[in-house]
Amino acid sequence: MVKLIGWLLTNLFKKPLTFEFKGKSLKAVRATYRGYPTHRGERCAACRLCIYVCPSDAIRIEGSLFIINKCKCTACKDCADACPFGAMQFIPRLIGTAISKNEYMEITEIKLVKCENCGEPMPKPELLLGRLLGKPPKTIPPYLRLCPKCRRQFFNPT
Amino acid sequence: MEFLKDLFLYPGFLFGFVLGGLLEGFKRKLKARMQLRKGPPVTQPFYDLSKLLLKNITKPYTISSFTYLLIPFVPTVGLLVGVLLMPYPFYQEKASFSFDLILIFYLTELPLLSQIIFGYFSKSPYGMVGAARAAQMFFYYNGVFIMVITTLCLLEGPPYSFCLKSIAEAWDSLDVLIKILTIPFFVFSVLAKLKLNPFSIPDAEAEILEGPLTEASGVALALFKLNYLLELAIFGSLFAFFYLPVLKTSPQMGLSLILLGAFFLFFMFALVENFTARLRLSQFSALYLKFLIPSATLILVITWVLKTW
Amino acid sequence: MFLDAIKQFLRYSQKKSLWVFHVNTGSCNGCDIEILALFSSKYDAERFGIKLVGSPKHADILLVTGPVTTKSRDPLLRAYDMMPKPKAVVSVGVCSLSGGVFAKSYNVLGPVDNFIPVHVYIGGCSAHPNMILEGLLRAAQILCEEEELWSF
Ligand code: SF4
Ligand code: SF4
Ligand code: SF4
Repeated sequence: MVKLIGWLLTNLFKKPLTFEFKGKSLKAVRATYRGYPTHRGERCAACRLCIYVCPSDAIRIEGSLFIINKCKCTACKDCADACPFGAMQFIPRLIGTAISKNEYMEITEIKLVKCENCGEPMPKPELLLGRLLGKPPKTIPPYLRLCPKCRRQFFNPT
Repeated sequence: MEFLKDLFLYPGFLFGFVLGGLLEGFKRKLKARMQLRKGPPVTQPFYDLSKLLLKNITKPYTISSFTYLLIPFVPTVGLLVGVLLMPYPFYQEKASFSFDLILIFYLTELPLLSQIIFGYFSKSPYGMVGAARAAQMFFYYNGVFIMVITTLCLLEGPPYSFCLKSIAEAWDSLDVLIKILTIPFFVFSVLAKLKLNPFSIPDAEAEILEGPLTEASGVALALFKLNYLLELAIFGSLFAFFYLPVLKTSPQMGLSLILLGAFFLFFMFALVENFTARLRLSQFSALYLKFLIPSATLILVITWVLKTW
Repeated sequence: MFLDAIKQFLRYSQKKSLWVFHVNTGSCNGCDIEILALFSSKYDAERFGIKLVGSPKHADILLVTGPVTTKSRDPLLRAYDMMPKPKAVVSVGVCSLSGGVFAKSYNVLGPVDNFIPVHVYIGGCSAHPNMILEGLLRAAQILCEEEELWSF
């Protein structure tokens, strides 16, 4: 007990351990903090694997809009592990507070390319090729610039 | 006019309120600093109080609004009289009544009584539990407190009038020795009276929903908090009157000694609160029955023997 | 004029002194532990006058963690009704925002804002103490400035 009292008394002359808090400066966290998913539209192929694995239904794709609902996301990182193209990234930052739930919707646009024949939106061919070859492709064969339907017509023109 | 000044400014309302608030803020700050925290500003109790004044009142339907406000208001008045009964420097020369310690003792019991009544009135189970605990503790610590007062009263000589002024002026070497002996008992009983940590049994900080005050809200709660602050001021300055030569020096010096004594007492309280944990009611009564009350009685008897022969 | 100044001061002190009542409506306790961490040395919330109180009648802010379950709906509503005005509600954790990992279980009725008005949302599973602190201070701002909370 005497030791404890000694600690308490010496603590009086030490600097407090408390973090400074000035407005939003508290958002900075350690690099080991997992953080929250961020979606990168230019890498996404809209394969919907992340939607399949997400345990709390936080991801939605509407047309070309990719919506992460951070009201539901539990930062489990399953989506980033499942994504074949590395489009889901975790950056160490805090989630922030919100006054309405809409502030927690993170909406990004998936950069889809148009089929050269019919104009149907389709994922970028270099993404799929890069995944297949393990490295970014040098040349892209012309039939890969078509959507699956047109590709079938390209090979079997009946 | 002079009387109003006494009542509301110097030894009365404003002084007691500000002193009590600063003592509470000081204690919270010290407690936080001892735990390596930054702690709230010293003025925090004033913010708490003034916030409560504007709040709505949600009262249980079993109490009428009048009673709801009257119960905490009566001890406020009592404590104001209690502050006026202390021989503060600049004030004691012109006051016409004797500074009766017994009366001060009764007046400082009023807030506790009001809390017990409030707890039972509110019909909330938590309020009743808190009130029952407070009522049970009442006997033990007041036993010790009465022993301390009586011992100190024996120091002042034959008429034994329980006058705070003559106790504060008793300052022989034997008196000083006995006064020092009674300090731990004073601190323990005041700790229990103020419901501070090892003895925070009635409200258990926040665990049984604030004990007797569960149903208090708005202005009623503000009055209860105000009573608490006034109590702090009274016990802080009582400590200074008992154990520091306040009335032996010049009035300015005396006033600063009172402040010094009060802040020192709350420094000790912060320390005690940090290194003890809350006792159970049975442990509390065992501590008082087996240890504190017998030794306080022993000191009383020794003093009596020394003083009469 | 003078009265107005006093009223202004009293409102300002509302911002400096926040008493928080914490209700767990069926969360996994993760967020509750983060709320306790808020009062430790690192995040010391007491320096802003934030204090946990035991009774809803003393509280300014209701801090809700967890989705509303069939059993906890009535206690939550009662605690909310007992709080004196002005009051604000802060909902902490993904569970209380949308049901989180508990959504669609047999006993979960829905997020907190289906039952009581929520002023500040704090996401995260579990919510970071920094964010809880920021949310509480934001709620203090709302308490102090929102006119309609003061009409009673
Ligand atoms: S981190 Fe987990 S919960 Fe959040 S979006 Fe990804 S898979 Fe869903
Ligand atoms: S983020 Fe990844 S997994 Fe999800 S749809 Fe896009 S490419 Fe597929
Ligand atoms: S948000 Fe996550 S950590 Fe918090 S209570 Fe819900 S499940 Fe637990």
